[in-house]
Amino acid sequence: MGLTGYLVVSALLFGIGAFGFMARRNAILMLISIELMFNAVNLSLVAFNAFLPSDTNTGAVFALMIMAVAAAEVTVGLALVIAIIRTRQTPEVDQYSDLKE
Amino acid sequence: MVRHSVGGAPSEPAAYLTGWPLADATACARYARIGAGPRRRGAVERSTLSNGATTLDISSVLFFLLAIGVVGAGLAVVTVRNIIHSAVAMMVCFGSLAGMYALLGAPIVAAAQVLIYLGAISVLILFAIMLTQAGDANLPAPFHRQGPIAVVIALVIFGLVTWAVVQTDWGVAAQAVTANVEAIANSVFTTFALPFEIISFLLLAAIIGAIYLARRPEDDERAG
Repeated sequence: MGLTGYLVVSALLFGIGAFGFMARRNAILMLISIELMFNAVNLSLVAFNAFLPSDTNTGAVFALMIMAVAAAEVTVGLALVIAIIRTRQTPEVDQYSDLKE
Repeated sequence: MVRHSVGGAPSEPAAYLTGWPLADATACARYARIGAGPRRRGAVERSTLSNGATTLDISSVLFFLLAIGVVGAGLAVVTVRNIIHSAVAMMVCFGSLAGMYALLGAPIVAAAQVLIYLGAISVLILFAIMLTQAGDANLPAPFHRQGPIAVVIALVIFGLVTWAVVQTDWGVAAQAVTANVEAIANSVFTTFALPFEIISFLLLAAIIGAIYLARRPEDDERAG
């Protein structure tokens, strides 16, 4: 299977993640959707690295670095979400409207 | 594309897979949909001639199985009502992606995917869900009012990226090239040494920030 197939799967996964981030009401599920988008980008990087090889393997190295950044992001994000849920008693993001009122 | 009959090939699993009709049908449907039929089919035939039919077709079948796993599990993540089921579908999606990395000839990235995503991030998210789950049977509506607009925006993103991908002539090899683990290790610690160090600092900052955020205010009073 060529590069195009992998890139189309990557675009599809990114679209799914973007939809989940915009449409779901649960804060934790918004974080999961961000993880889906990270993974879509990782898939395209690894596919580029496999089909357009370079001496330094830039695509694979940056996929590994994006994984580390995603781990840091999900750690802080989940800590924030748990702190908010503890004070607001709900995971629904449309209930977080204190600054609007 | 070479077709073998299913009946005559019980002793050869490769030939049996080649004759599997669903993969060919899915391939044709996908090529027809993204409008890249003639060029892509030509590439497949070229590599079939140079590399032999069986290896290419096994990797195609594996690719379509893994793609169905990734996309189907991804759709399940964002549409399922119960968030625990979403997290389990997310783990299926990450596992299929690890298989896809292995298929792309990047075993070190596949191993990191299993370790970090399946091992660490999934468990972290499951813990967060169990800490915050209200536990009542009547689940709230999963989508915002702007759900239809979100569908349109996501489809526009997907369409634009796919259009760009199909329009571009990448000029690439027809087969994935396996990434050498030693070469990756060398470039991580030489060419990309500075990003590597920055990431170690970022992880330290993330640990400290998570501890600070997750601490209750009354812990401070008790401590002093």
